[in-house]
Amino acid sequence: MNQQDRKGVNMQTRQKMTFIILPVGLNCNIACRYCYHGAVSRKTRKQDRMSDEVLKRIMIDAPQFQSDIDFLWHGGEPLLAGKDHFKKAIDFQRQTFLTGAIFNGRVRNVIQSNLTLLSENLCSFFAKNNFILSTSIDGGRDVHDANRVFANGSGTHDRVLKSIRLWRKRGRNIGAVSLVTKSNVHQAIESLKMLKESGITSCNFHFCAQDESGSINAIPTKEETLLFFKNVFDLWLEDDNPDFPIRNFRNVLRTLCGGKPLDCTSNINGCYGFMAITANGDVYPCHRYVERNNFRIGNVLESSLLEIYDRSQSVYRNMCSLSENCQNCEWLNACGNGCAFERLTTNGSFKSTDPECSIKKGLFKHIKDKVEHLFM
Amino acid sequence: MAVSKKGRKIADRIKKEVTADNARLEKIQSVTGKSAVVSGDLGCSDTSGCSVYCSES
Repeated sequence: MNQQDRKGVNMQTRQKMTFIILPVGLNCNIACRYCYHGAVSRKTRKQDRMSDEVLKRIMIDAPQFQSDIDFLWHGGEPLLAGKDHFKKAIDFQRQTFLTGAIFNGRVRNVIQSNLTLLSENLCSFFAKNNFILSTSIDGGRDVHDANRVFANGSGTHDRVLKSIRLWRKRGRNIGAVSLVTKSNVHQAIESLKMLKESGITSCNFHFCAQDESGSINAIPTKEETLLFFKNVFDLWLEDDNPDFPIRNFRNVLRTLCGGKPLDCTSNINGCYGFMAITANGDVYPCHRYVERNNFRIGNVLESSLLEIYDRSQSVYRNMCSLSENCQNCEWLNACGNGCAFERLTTNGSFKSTDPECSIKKGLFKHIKDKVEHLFM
Repeated sequence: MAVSKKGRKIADRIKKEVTADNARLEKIQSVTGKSAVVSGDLGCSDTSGCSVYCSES
């Protein structure tokens, strides 16, 4: 099958393709108490590091997708891979994208990191090469350090703040994921204030999800969580500062004026835009499925990413299944039925409703009631 | 009772973004002749405030 034929395989095209690269697999230097990967913190072994061969293969294959492309370094903790890994990635990209005749999309490099390993030197390198940084911060020191800790139990808050300042000193924006836990659920005002003071320039609040062993005990009740979201939204609206975007709320507002949400978990068919590649070249539809053999869809050293993607369409279709309840829901365009992985692990089936459905419905109605007149 | 204008600046910014995004989607669809699937960014990261750098990369 040649390149032109391959483009015709699907009747749909993708606005963007995101390659989630796990250069050290799920290895991490910290041990968050609510980690959905099971709070693994161990010394990274040589066999856990992505080889140059795998890295180069990704950069050779990616332009074949002929859409905008994000390379999103994730983990575990991607900075464990060291500067040399990222330098090689940029060098390979220059070779394959700039010289490739078939590619005319936009390329971004994004890192999702706990930032505890960000050095001055690494910071300069990322800034010089236009990397986009996103981190995780849950609020002030007490709230953050209740869950985000090093293996010895000491908190990571101060180190993260130091790194955010280092990055911001270079005039760069930085986003953050912030989890709603028992530690901050009653502190909506304080949490929002602390997030702004930390130096981050945008954020997205996450639900704290249960893992399959049921061992995470930081999860607040649904009623508490909904109240937290409503309170934060009201404060954000009162502030009316478009330069501090909160994605959860922007997603809903965008759909009120005919737009699409900004992230995979809120878009119907959102899973189609992602592939995750681990250190040894194994490919999964998303980083959430890494090390689950029944979701391993190939290896970049055996087939090209586009071949793997094309032959795995049934896997993606299955992940994006909608229950009947969702198909008829008035909020579907703003919700997208949430994260497929969380539906599977919570309900045992993709074709089920988002575990956070009741919270989202309550929040969406609250937002619509407050701002619908602004979009008339 | 007067209608609240709280959130007006945020709403105006979002309307502009959506207009630009929808125009871009239409362009993709007209070039490829196919409907475009929108996935957005990864849920487990946040780059929503970093768009200023996208055009530079």
